[in-house]
Amino acid sequence: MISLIAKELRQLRPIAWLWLAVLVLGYSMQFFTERVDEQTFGSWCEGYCEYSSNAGVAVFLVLLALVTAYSLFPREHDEGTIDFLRALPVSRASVFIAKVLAAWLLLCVINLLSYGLDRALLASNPESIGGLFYDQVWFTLLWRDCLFMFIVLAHGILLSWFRTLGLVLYSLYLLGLMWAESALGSSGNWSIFALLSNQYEGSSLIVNGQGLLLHSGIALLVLLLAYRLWSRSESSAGGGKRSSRGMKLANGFFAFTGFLVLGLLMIYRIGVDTGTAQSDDLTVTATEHYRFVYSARREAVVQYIVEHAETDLEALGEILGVDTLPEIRVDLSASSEHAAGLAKWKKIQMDLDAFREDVSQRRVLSHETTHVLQATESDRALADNYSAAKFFIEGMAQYTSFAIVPELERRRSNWELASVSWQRQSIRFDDLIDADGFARQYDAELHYSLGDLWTRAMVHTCGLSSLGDFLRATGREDAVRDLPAAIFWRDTMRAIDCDLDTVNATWRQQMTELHDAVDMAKYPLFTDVIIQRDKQGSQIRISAKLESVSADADADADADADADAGAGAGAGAGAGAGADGDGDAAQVTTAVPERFIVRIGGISTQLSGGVDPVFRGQTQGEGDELRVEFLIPDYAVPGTRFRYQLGYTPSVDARYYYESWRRGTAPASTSQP
Amino acid sequence: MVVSSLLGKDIREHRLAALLLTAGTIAMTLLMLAWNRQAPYSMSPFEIVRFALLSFLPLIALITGNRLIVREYLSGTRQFVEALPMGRNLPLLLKYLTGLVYLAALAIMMVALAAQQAGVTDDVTRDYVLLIMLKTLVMTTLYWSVVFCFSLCGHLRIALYLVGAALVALVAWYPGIDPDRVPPFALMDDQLFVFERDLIPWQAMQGTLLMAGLFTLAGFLLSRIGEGSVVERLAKPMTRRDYVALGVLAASGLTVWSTLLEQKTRPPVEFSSEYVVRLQDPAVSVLYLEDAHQAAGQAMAERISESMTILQASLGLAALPDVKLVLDPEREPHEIDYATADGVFITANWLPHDSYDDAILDSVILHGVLSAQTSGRAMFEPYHWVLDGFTRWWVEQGTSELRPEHRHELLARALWVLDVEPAAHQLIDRWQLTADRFSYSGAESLAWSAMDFLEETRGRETVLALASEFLVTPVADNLVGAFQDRRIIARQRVESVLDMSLDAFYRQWQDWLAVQRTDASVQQLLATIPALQGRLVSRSTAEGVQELEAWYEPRESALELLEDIDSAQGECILKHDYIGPFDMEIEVSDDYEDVARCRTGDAVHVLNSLYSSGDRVYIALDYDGPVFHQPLRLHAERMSIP
Repeated sequence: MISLIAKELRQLRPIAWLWLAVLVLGYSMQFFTERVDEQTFGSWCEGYCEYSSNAGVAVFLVLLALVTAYSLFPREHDEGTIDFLRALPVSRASVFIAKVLAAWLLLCVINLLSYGLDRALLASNPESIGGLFYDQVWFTLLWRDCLFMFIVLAHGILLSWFRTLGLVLYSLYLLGLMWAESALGSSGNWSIFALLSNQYEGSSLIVNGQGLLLHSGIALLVLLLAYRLWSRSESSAGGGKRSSRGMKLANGFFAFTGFLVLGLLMIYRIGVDTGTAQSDDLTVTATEHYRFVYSARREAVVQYIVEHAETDLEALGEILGVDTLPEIRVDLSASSEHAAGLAKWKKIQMDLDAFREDVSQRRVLSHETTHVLQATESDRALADNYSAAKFFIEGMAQYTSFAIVPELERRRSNWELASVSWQRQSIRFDDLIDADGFARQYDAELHYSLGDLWTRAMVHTCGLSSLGDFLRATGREDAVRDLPAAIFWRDTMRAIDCDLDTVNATWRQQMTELHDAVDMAKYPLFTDVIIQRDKQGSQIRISAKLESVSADADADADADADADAGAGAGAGAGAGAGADGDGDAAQVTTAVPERFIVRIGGISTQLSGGVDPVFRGQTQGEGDELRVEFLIPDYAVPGTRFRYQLGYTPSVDARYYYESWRRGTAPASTSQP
Repeated sequence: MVVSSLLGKDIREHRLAALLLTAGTIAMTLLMLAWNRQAPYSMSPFEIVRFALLSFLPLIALITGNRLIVREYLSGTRQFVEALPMGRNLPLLLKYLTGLVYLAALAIMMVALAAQQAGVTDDVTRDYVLLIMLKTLVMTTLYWSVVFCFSLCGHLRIALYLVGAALVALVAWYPGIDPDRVPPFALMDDQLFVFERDLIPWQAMQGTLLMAGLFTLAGFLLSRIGEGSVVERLAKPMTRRDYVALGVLAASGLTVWSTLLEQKTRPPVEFSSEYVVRLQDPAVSVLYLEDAHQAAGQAMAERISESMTILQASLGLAALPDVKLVLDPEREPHEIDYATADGVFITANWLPHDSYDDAILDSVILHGVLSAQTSGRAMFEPYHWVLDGFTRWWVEQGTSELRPEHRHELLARALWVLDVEPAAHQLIDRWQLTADRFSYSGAESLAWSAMDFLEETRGRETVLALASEFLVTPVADNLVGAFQDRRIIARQRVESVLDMSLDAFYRQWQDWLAVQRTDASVQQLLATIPALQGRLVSRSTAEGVQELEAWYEPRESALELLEDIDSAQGECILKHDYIGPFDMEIEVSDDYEDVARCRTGDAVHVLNSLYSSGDRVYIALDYDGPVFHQPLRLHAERMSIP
């Protein structure tokens, strides 16, 4: 067996050189661009072994294992060299096992080499904190990657029997996972990428043991099947079985019938209904610049929207200094749980169920139309800087739409909510210009109202024309692409002669004024959070006490200085000082919010970007014992640790106010109190 | 007859694979459409056509090329075909057309399926579908032409595909290239491919077709050059020489890439406001926002400029980075934002500053200047104490006389730090731990005291020599830079400059500090620090609520600290923040804090439900009194919540 493995390893040498070359290139890049002795364990881990994980890295590992798997059997059979092996006095099973073991060994050695080098490099950092090394994490990652390679290798060996079509099958598997993630929220342990998800207890890495066990078992079964297929396949040089005349006929018949069936299926699918899906009760109406499609049931609201569409568009064009207004297609028949409206290039999609009032629908159209004008005026350049400009993209759309379609109460409510979040969670301009980082830390929806307020400060400082000027400046000929967010803002603002720091100063001043006027009774805090998994393990129960907060404590941490010891209850990690139970600061009577909600953080091992699931909460008890309980289905929390965000509506028509993200632990078994 | 025979041969050979591939494509298209229906932000079924063109259509083209062309060349059956009396071009042309028609059929089928799912909301007109189909076919033609050409390159095709992929990545992600100006990228634009229905991208389509034509032509030429010898040569497996060539190609690509990245230069951004004081050589700009703050802005700019000019002359610095300061009147006096992405960029509020606060701000600015001078190497732990100590020393006594009140405060803080943690004297080996435990202000005062000691005992030149050793020479951002920098270890470098052993330096410096303790002003300051130490515990209540408690206990000290805690005039502050599973340097912000009156006995701070089991948290307990300008860190801990 050892001789066989050694022979296979010799045969895998070109693949080994290839992977070594990839490794060398990777390290060369690092050596050319970094002082390796300054690298910390955390920076080494970035993008791979921090909380959760990045599916992109897993894709690379899958490719590594699949390419190796494909180099094992197909060529041996195509070139007939398998016949020499079969002529040896060893069983076909031994040959198969030797090949699998040799390939796995090669992958493990490459892995070991990479991890070993990393360890050596990290050891060169002498710093007392930055130079700390985490053996448990390093070793766990090493063996988990080796096991993961084995699983994908097994898949690859089976797929390679189908040759290149096997890759199509694997693509189907990946697409199936993406569909499941979009439709069900998670593909659970069916996804091989879930095997690389990371959870930590302190500094210890916890692996997805259940998933690894399941997939290892499947991998063994897959290998068994692959063995059956490969051991019964004759080499092409050996001639294989010559097809009989009957087989040839059957083959031809199968191919002909197959194409015929596919053709009929296509004709049936495409047929005469093309372009008319879900269009039974849809009606079309058009204005000079808009084409609206809507359900006949919504005639009244649509008429109101259509009536104002052109004048609103002209007003928007005037604000943004647009010379030529585009033609826009609007789908008013969409239904979405996640957005009242969407816009891409010159198409708008709106859900008329998102708001009750007609005027709100009209404003949403103005908001989305602003996005269309942003795209056309900046020649799509604003979208190229999406992360840096998301708050402004949404904020400008809010600002212009509220300017054209005033909804004073809604806007005031949004501003109030934004100012409370801004104060409690200490949000700064630098947070706004990093869309992903913002969403990880705060409520991503705050981009709208905070952006609205920031745009207001910009108009206040540099004039209304600065909005359109900014759009055109992002798409100017000499604009430098891919600038870091802070520099993008400085560079573009300089191009329109508007000072960023002055705008920021105005913004902060206006935010403070807004916050000072807020009735804090409407913004209680969640405290005494209890997380339990029920006995059946089918759902997780989050229960939190609702506690009022004194206006003084919220506005100024110093208020607590005079208070005695008490609960430092805060609104998530972003909360300011705690409100004391027996402090001098006056308590306010809490206005119990209308609705409660919890948002569960997405899992980044997912292939398709989804939307974080939310679940409603119910109040229990009253007075000082008022608690809110949220029930979360088990599938939304794949492991024991998860991120969540508690929220509520401060008034009947207000948006949800969310506290900062927290991390929770749902114990595997329940001990009910 | 010949044509039908050749076509018949290919159909017989590949019909089953073609059938399976077609079925797979249909299945994938249907799955994508189902996914598109569910996806929260999808706006048109035609989006899957673009997705398919970017993801699996190239794969299908690859499979088709592999079966139609590569297998025939590598297995040698091509020679039989070439032996037939029909010329060399016809079989190849038929191969090209067969592949193109097959891929075009798949592409049309995908567009048709998407159109079927599209509704009246997508306004599926004939012109719109034709436009999308046209764009799709143009891209399909390009893919097939590339695969056709590369497939005729035998085993070298893998290298060519890799180079091709690298080129695509370069165009897509290199900051200096605008993909919208490159035809296939412009055609596949994220927004325009599906949603632009009025304008036909003639230029992008023509450019893409031209590229496709060139690849096709190259393929045909390749099959003719050298009477088949090239093809024969290419059909053979790659030799070691090929591998070396590939390696050289990859290395060259890498070098070009790195060079291009290096050249990504751009003039630094400038303030555009009229409320700016601008000084040149060294370049210092101060944005003061309002007329009322102009005088303060002017004074600040002049002070920094003068300090930097003398520093440049004293250390012999060739150039200095641009320094920009922004006034933010709403900030706390010590709330300073610091960035070095584009010169040194500082946001702070210096309006309520006294001279000590000014010194703190000036130290931060010079910290950025000298850090930039060494490309950030001065922040490396073995040298960081020199950077911190020297910048403060320079600000305090580099260009003017040291103010006695500053000296007393810095000395008192340094003495207190060493009293709490005697091991903090190990400046080279424990700098990060000291800064972590006592905050940067505590660590800085310690380093400053070392510099003050050196100036007093060895003279000003020794301090400057120490700075020259560690803070002047830029260290390259690569392995060679790190290696060269560490040829001589930090300890030896310090000993060489000081001309004494490090242990002797540590000992003499501590003895000197002990003498400073007897100064009445220093003692007066020390007597205002409460003799407290902090304690932390994280626990779960009987109901399952996670709480983190902090309290204070008396601490014994030889420094004659304030033992009557009730008479302490300052506040006790708990600061906290999440940290990841791995330790890195952190300066906990004032954003998340709990302020209370200092006392001993029961719990002073309780954090309720903020953290849960398994989290890692940094907790600091500070004492902020009226005498010291910055808080004193009584306790700091990185804890895992049990």
